Amino acid sequence: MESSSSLKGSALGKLVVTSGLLHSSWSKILEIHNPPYSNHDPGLQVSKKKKDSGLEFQIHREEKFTLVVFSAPPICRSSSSDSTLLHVKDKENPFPFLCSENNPSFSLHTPAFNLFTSASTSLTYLKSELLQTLKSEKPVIITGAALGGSVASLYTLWLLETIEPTLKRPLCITFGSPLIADASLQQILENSVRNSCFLHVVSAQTRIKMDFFKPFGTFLICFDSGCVCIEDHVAVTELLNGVHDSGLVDYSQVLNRLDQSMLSLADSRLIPEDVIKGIEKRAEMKNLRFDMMFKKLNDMKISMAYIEWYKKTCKEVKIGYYDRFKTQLAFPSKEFDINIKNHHKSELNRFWKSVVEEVERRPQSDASILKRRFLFSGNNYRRMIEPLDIAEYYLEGRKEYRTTGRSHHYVMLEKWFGMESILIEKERCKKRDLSDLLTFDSCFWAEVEDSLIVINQLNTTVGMRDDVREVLTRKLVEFEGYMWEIITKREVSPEIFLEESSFMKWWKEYKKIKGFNSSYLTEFMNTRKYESYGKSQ
Amino acid sequence: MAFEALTGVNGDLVTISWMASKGANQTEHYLKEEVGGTVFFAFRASFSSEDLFATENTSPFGEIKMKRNQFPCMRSIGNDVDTTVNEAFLKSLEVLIGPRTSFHASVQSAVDRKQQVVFTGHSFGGATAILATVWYLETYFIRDAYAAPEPRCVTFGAPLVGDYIFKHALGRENWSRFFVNFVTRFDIVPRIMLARKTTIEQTLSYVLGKLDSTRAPIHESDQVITEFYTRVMRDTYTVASKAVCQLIGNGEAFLETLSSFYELSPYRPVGTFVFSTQKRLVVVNNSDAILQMLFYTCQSNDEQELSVIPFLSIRDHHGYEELVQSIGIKLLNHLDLHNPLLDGENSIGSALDDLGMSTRARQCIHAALEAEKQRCQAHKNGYYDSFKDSNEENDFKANVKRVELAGIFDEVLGLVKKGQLPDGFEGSRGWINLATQYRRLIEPLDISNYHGQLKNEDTGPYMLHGRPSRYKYAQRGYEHDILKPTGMIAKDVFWSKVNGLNLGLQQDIQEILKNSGSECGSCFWAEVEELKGKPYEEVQVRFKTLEGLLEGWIKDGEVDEKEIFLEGSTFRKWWNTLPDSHKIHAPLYPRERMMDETRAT
Repeated sequence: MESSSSLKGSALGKLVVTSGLLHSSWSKILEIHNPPYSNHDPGLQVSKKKKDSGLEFQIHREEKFTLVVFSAPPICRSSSSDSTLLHVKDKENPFPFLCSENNPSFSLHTPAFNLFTSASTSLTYLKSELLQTLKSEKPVIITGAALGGSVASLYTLWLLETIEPTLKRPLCITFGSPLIADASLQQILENSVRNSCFLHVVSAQTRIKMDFFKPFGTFLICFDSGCVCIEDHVAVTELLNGVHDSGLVDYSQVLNRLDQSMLSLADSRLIPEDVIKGIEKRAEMKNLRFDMMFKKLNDMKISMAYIEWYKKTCKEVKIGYYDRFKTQLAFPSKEFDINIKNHHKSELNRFWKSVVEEVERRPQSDASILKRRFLFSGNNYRRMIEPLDIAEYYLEGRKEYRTTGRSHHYVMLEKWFGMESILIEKERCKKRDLSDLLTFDSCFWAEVEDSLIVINQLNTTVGMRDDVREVLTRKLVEFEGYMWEIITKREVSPEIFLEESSFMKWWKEYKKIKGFNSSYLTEFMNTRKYESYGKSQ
Repeated sequence: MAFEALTGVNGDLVTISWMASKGANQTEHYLKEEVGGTVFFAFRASFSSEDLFATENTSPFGEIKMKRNQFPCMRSIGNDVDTTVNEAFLKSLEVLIGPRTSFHASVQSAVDRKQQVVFTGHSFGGATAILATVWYLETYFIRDAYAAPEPRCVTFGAPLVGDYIFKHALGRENWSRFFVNFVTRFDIVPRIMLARKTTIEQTLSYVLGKLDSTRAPIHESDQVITEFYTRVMRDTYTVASKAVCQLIGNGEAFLETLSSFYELSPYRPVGTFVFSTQKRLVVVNNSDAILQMLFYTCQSNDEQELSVIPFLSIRDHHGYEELVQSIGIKLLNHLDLHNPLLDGENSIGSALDDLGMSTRARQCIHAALEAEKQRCQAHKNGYYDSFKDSNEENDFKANVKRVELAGIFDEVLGLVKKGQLPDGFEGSRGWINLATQYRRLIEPLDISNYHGQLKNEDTGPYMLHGRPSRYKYAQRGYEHDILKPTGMIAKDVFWSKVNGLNLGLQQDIQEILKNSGSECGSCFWAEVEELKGKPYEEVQVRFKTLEGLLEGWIKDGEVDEKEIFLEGSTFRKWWNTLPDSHKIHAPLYPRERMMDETRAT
């Protein structure tokens, strides 16, 4: 029995061939290369051939879809392997949105890129026109042969930036076109839904040099007796990589042969066994990575439930979960505490680090979808768990967590939440009971610890210079200001006022230094107003 | 007899059905035949193109949605989508059950006398038979399963009628078993609906004329027929290839991009299919496998045979007399999960040889059967049992359990939405009860968690953004189950209750009750949380609605009455703040008093 990947490859190939899309595209490509003498097609728009660059395109409005055909002059051999490097920060870069956190730059095939930029004015105009078409629910095919197909690919990539996920995705069909992307761009697209918008038709006899430029999208590889459709780019490389073959392929013939092969019963095996095995292995890995992430999200919620419970039991013995965790770290006693640290906390950290990595691998515009999906659980996680990481950090005798000790994934989660939550209208009720609130600033405890260290320095250093003393005192005043702000904004959990908490320890020390100087905070603390903080009124 | 065990009908019933179907062509609409206490309704086949594609219908396959209030069961609960069927076929059903024929009355009298009914038809009459059976199931069978006997539907060379949801809904209600479709190997009619209207439009009338046996004979070299056949099979091939891609999975993004560029027929086979060849009958129940067979059985290794297949595709449409007579004589094979042996040695293998199935074809069938196997396995994996033990004493454990159960439920829902569980899964009473119990028990916890963590301040009201789709789904399944015998739909029932409270005009109330927890009993607490703390005047209508519906919820077991009146409950506390003028007239007032008294004693 043949494997399912091979069946899938051939079924997908048959679907593509019987759908008739290849014929529609190819006939228009023929037309642009050999224009008929009189053209009365009312749906046709022809752009003037640009003398300097030689790029040309036509729009055909068909009944079911709109077709854009690109045509470019034959490629000059000497420049065929030149590449242009584009960085996310380049002003000249038309594709900054494709860059990911991991791949801030990539290179493109220079001849295609130059043709593309040379026509930027008319292409910008075309873009707004196509967007209108897509919004009216009519899909768009962008096509071209040889270098024309490469420009079509570039153009499609560019168009994709402005296409919202709710619109129909365009399809780019190329025939025997040179590859345009380097390994970085291939990697970026591999993790993107954009990859699904490219169909490259190639004859199996063609050999493509793949030492610098890499394939992306789906390939329809045409043999004499049939065809296969493959997305796996490693397999595509295995099947097509080789010394450049200058022999021109006539795709009219290739398509005709495909048509005939549809009716025949021949079931020849088109792809070697080992290539198929590779495809299967990689598909499985990719699925696993994805399934894991979503399945795990639920396991993570369970771990969060454990930690929520931990927080609750701590409150009952008048100590916040932050301080309880800190003392338990120093003197572990109960199994439950150890479990929290070794199991739940570390599982949660590992999971969220991998989510952040996954997001960073994607193009910026794709990543936002994933971010939104994980937004609230990620934020909840950060507010709940980061204090525990802070506890570990200060117990090791270190300081200044926010600037020197913070893990990258917390920074990113906070950044994303900040960006996304602006979009959500917030209406916080003044009367609400805050007892289950998680402190908004997940680095709150680091501020408290740093401030405690400052007090300690002031109290224990003998013969401190006045200017040093002044700097340290200013730090304390700044912290007081910060405290008062989050209290008035009701953004801090009432747990910090529990008797045994580090914050209360800070207050006792701070009171001595402050003496009789009165402020909002001292008044709030001295008159024990904090006891009613966060209670529902 | 093996044939009856596999198909649910015996040879005699098939023979009578065939005779009646032939006879129906001499009538205007239908023929009624009573044999040994069973009533046969056979429908006339029409060969005019308006009876295949409704004239005003502009959809690419002449399709239309079935109306939910007329056919409440014909939809998907998981995705909440109604069934799509061919409009022309639906229209001929409407004429049939309308006042112009005696059909409705005849069925009624058969039901009154508790007689078994068989709906049957040849060719396009078979399409009417299928829809008439659905109509019977929705109108009589579901209302009172004891009074109306199980119907049967027997078709001969019928076209496909409905889409995937049609097939799914019949499977969910366990009704697929009533349908048996006979197909001679090359018959074009069961394949016609897989083609786009635009590709066959021009030649359709001509071919329909040829299919009508009363007309002149056909020639083997008729080019129009060859053209027509090629176009139909090409589209059929596209449908079959796409189905295989979906069965195997992987690379869905590319398939999705591709799918906006071509139109694929939505129609799918329903029930049991019996394919016939010269030597044997092959019985298949799996809809995916049947779809593949509709394409692949028309292939041939034999060059000479290949060239005459277009001709055979017309001739075979009239081969049913011979087929019916051969039941009991021909070899019988069953293609299913347990014998999907695709090599040529054993009998099922040679059956596939007879049907001209190539290796590739066998792989496609195999993929279809394999998918079915996986659906059954997912079902057996015990989603069910992991759900059963839920109510924990300890509130921490309850919280963990809550999250665990949500995970399992979401996984099940994901499978349901993608159609990866057997069709019957959603319809089973056990699952509906479990999901309902889960919803009633756990949704209040979710609501309290939502409000406890102040998420309503972050994300908005629970009903608008917070309510997980698993509860919406569980609610749909529950409502479907209890309303099924009444033939009503949930939305209408809700509004008739609300209108009964006389709070104002429906359109005004509709605006006020947008995103209100009153839509469902298990959302009672969400509504209380939303309303409490707001001035009474502002939320009067919403509160009165909640109050008005509460009685019914308590009766149905949606809300636990003891719990809501407890001294410390959020509801009770809020109730105490309401103005006396409201309390005295409130339907809850006597109940509240009573509860107080019982506690005092």
